[in-house]
Amino acid sequence: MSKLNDEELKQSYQGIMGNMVASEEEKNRVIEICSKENGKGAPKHIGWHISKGAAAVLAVVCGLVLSGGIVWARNRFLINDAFSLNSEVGVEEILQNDDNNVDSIPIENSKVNEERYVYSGEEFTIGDYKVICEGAGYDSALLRGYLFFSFWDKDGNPVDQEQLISTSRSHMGDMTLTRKTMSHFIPLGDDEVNFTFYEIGGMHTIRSGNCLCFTYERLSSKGSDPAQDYGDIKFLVLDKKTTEQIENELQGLLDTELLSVTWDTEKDRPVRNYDLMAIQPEVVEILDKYNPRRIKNIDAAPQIIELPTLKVTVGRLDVRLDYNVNDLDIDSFILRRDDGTEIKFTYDAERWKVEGDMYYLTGSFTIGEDREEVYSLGFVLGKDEKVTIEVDGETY
Amino acid sequence: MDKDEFNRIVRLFYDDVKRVAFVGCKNMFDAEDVTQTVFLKLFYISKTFETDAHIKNWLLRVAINESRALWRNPWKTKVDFKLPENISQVRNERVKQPDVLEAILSLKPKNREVIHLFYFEEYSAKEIAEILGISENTVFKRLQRARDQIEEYILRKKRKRR
Repeated sequence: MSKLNDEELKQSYQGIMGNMVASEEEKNRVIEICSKENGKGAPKHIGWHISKGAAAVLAVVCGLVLSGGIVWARNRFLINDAFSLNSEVGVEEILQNDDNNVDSIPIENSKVNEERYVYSGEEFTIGDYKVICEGAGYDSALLRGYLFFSFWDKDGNPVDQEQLISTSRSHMGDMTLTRKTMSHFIPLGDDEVNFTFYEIGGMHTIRSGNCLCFTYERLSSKGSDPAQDYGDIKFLVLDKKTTEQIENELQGLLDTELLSVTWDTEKDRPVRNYDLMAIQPEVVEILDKYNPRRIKNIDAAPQIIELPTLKVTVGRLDVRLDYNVNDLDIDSFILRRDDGTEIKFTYDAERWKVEGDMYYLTGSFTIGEDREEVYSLGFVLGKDEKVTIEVDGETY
Repeated sequence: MDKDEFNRIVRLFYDDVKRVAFVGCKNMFDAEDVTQTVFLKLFYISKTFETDAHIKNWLLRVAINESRALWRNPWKTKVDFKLPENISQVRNERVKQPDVLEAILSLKPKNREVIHLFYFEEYSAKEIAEILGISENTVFKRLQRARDQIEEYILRKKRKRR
């Protein structure tokens, strides 16, 4: 075969895969499992995935392993996000989307009257409703943090979906994230790290049961140049394996749009995040093993996925790299000239550093609203100079 | 989701979900597990779908994600794939390149997914981009890279036989 024929490839593949047909018995079995006793048993299955992710979210944010585990998590799991109450902003906008999809609503006009911290488990009142902060999380893959709140009426009954929407529209205007910098403080003793987050005017809601999940996006503590402190996104990258395990769960959770707080039928209330934690021993185990106290210089293993698109103009090479956020981590970027000399760019928390005096980096880095991340880098080249590009060990 | 509607969807899309799960997991047993999980999620999700195409897209996306999660599991990555006999031995007039499935399954997961959606499901690059949450450009790149690798694999296989 000199060249693979596209049509031949398609026909062959379809010819083989077309043979993969499930029996009626197999389909019936799935239908039966799903609908058995009106779904009893199934939520456990789903809940497993949700809870893994939710536990991971918690774990990622707090480094819960640091000692005390669940009890610590329950009592001291801190959101430590600057959070405002009594804002004049109407959050009706936030809830305009009645489905469960994540959506973004600008809160450009936020006016903050009061700022305070909210802790997991804390209760407060908004209108006639009691609101409980169920916890928080942070998804380093999507650069988003989550704040979970459950709503209860004055008699202690969970607010149902319709009521929740109405309640939220009426009262949630009292509560909105501030636009100021939000910080997570992770107690690492002498190695205490201050992780700074910035609410960028996007807010998302996910509803489930009587819970609302607000998400905030992290951009930068500086505000002007997100690349400047982007690197600390890896704050809980304990090692590659651990991170992947955690992030896989998060990703699965988000991808299936099931990021929500599950309903605990036994307790007749939403499952709390720390409850979810309790049934995730392996997450605790992982984090115990990689106690962040021991981690000083945290870095992720490089992953590079896509071929860069190269655009060469006179004396200048523009490199544009498109990544899925799953493949976000870039460790190094190398330009290699014909004569074999190379210039290595190392990505770190502060900036792209250039090793080599002939070249400079003019690139920037943006976080799009969707899940596609775009990195644009510019390099000044000598005229007619040719380079190959190596990204994290892969040459293009 | 309404039970009758759920039954209809299972019967309509079960094979598609299982195929994409198989491509993701490279293992029929895991593919069946993933397929079951996907339909469980469908059963309980409160999302409203406008059309069957919308449902199918969602199912495939969830199946891909579930497969990825499974495959990323540290001990799964050590397991070699084995084609089921009823699949690996399929020969009919359409199958001019019998090694093609093996070649596709040897690709990286992200490339396998794109190839499957493109060549089997016959989605456009734009549709694939939407399902996978990547750019169209990325889809094209993955397709091109995957084609090259498939070609190389098949050639190598042929050389070995000689």
